[in-house]
Amino acid sequence: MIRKIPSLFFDKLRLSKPWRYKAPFLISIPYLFIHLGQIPAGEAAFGLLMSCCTIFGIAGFGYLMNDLSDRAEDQKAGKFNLLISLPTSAIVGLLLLFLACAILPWLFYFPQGWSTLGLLAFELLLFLLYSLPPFRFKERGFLGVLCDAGYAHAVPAVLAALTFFYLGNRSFPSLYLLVGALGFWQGMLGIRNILLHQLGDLEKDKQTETKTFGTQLGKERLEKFLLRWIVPLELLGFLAFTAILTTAVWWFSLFAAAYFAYLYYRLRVIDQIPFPKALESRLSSTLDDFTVLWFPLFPISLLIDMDAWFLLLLPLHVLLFRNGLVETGRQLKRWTERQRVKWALAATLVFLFAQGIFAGLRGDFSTSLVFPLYTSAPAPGEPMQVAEYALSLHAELDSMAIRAEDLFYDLPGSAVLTVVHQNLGFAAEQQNQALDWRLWLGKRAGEVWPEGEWGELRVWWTLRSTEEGEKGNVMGMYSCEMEKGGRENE
Amino acid sequence: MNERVEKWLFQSFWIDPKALALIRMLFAGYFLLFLGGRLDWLATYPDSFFHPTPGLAAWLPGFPPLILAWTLAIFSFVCTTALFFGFRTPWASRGMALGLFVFFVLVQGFGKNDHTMLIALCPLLMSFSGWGQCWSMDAGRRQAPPKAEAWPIAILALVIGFLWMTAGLFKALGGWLEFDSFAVQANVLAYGIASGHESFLNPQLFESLPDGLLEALDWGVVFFEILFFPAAFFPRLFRLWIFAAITLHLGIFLYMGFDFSTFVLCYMPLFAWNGVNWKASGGKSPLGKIRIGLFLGILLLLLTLYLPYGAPYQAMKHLLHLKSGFWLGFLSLLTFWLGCGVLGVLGLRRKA
Repeated sequence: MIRKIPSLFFDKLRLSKPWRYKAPFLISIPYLFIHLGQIPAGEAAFGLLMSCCTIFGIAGFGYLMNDLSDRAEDQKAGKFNLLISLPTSAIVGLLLLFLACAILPWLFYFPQGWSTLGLLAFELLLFLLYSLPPFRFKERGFLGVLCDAGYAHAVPAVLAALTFFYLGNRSFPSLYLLVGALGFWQGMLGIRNILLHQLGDLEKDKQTETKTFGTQLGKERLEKFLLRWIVPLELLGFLAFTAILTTAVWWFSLFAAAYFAYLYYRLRVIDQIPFPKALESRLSSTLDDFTVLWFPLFPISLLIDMDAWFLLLLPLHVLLFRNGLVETGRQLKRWTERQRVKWALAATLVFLFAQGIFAGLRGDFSTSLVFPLYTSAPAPGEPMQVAEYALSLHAELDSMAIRAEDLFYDLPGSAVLTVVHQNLGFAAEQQNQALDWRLWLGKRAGEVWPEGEWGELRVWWTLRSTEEGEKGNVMGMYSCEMEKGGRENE
Repeated sequence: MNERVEKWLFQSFWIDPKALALIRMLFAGYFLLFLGGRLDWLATYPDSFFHPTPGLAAWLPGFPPLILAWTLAIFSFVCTTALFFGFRTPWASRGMALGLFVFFVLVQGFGKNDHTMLIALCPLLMSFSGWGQCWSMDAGRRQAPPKAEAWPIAILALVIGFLWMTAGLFKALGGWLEFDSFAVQANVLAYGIASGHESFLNPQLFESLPDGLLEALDWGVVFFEILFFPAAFFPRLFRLWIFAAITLHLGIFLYMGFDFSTFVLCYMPLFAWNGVNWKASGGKSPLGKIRIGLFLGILLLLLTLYLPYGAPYQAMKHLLHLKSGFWLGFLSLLTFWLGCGVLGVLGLRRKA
């Protein structure tokens, strides 16, 4: 019985389709807005769980409404429809389950604002308008197209964005612009998807006398409408979203550009196939793959950079949702060795340039994933990030002190000099802004320094800036010969 | 575009399997003779010294315990020895790369970052090149003729070019191109005189050079470094760049005391090895006749000699109380410089 439950939801109620093709992008919107809102990891994790719950509930409700309204037709046509065989109580139970999953997160966790609750209500309303009589927008031409695009793409994206932004604490000046661009882009994408679907089903719909926007327009006019209006508007929406998001995360446009460059390289150099001619294939391999497979990895990387706990999100996302990493792994398995090597070349270039992005995120190019980028000293007078300080340590044997002199550069704020004496096994630490430190070789009272020739005094020093960001870590070793009679430490 | 990519990736950097074998033995041998050492000193530092810059080392809690330091040292030694003898070469290479990588991550804990991680990448990439298919224990067990792959060397060239390019870019951003400062002069004087680095030629020579020449040096260095990356896509030009880079390293060593000889090890696969007529060189090497039992015996013997002081050079330094690394650095850089130059000339003559 328990094993049949996933099959019930994912196969019979066809929830596998939205889970594979819509949920990966939809869940990435919360990822992005968790980063923009700087939501802590614990709170974010619970929020994401609630998101998955509500996605499941909303999608389930939508498919249930559709199957419920098509029961009679499907039975006549001999088409599979789960609700034909289910008793009414079971249907009601499913309906309540999906509604509960959809609504409860808002009742108990998500912020209850007019915008978010309004959008949620609108989303559920669109399902009803699309499927149920007397409205049944699915048979009312372009209204059906708008409805489908709304409930499947635009409204969930905007709802997710606003919900998670309100969960966080930060303000974001271009929030409404970004959300608007997101809604527009997703809306156009939704219209494009449904129209392509109708284009594909045109002949079948004509035979069954199903009224759709596609059957109203005809094949040629529908194709023209798509190419002249919808696809360009979708691209415009995508570009607007990219541009506005880049103002918040500067390297997003690089990420997008890198993907399309990689796509071109993959098609022309690795697979050696021409760019698909059919519109659906073109859009599928470009925008759709980017949106579903790769875009989610971008906010995940932002989150990992924000808090290491989000590292757990990466394997979870990879396991639960379609993603570019697994798809690339499958491709690698299918490719010949030569093709894999060509892929490795692209991966190496992406990795190398990603170093710059990683360092750019921190504003400090001395950081690294693996290879640091910034290793050379700038011209004198310029502030140094990884500093080479010239320190010479003079062991003043009479006073048993070590005096350090900075010969070349000023120190950034105060610094901590830690000295460890190898032979005598002590450590002393002193915070000092002066150029001249005197550190006593601390020994416990009553201990005697050994007499005679001490041989080599090796002193390690580390200079650590106490300014924010702790730039300027250096470390060195100084040695000199010491000859001194012993003395008792006072 | 595909043809150009294929040619660059699979043909342009191809070198004879025997040359690869020689590179393998030089690379591993250099580590075994000069660089390899005990790593227990890593465990002697207090954790107050552990201040890594953001990067992989930032994930670590502190310096490793003694047992881990010893494990790393022994593991690295075993892999390097296996690499030298050409025993299970691909895995020995990757093991050596892993050991080096872990070591450099730990050293990042001192708060200093540099490009030494490149040295770990070299054996990793070369493990795919077929550098164990000649003059090795593996060759003694193989029947098929040796096959060399060019693409690992092409990718190595790309990485080297990229690292140089980033160094040049940050010089450019840091003010090296400004006309009111002479960065080369400043760095030579700072490191050669003020910092206490041991320089072997007089850095004060740079004080008396004319301004025009000093500015040309600044611009020259920056553009030389930046153009390293695009040069990687033109193999013959890249080999010239590599020679110029070794010359620069030699100059930096003599004037400023910075020893980059370990980097130059990674440049070896990019020398013009095809200038030599490898077909005329000998057939099977005695390494191919060594069986695993003998190899294990040699390994154990070397390990017992290695454990007290590390590599023979390190042992010599310790026992003779040598402080300066001048001769190793100088002779290494000079040998690489001469080797690169001679191979380049031979290559040009062969082409003619």
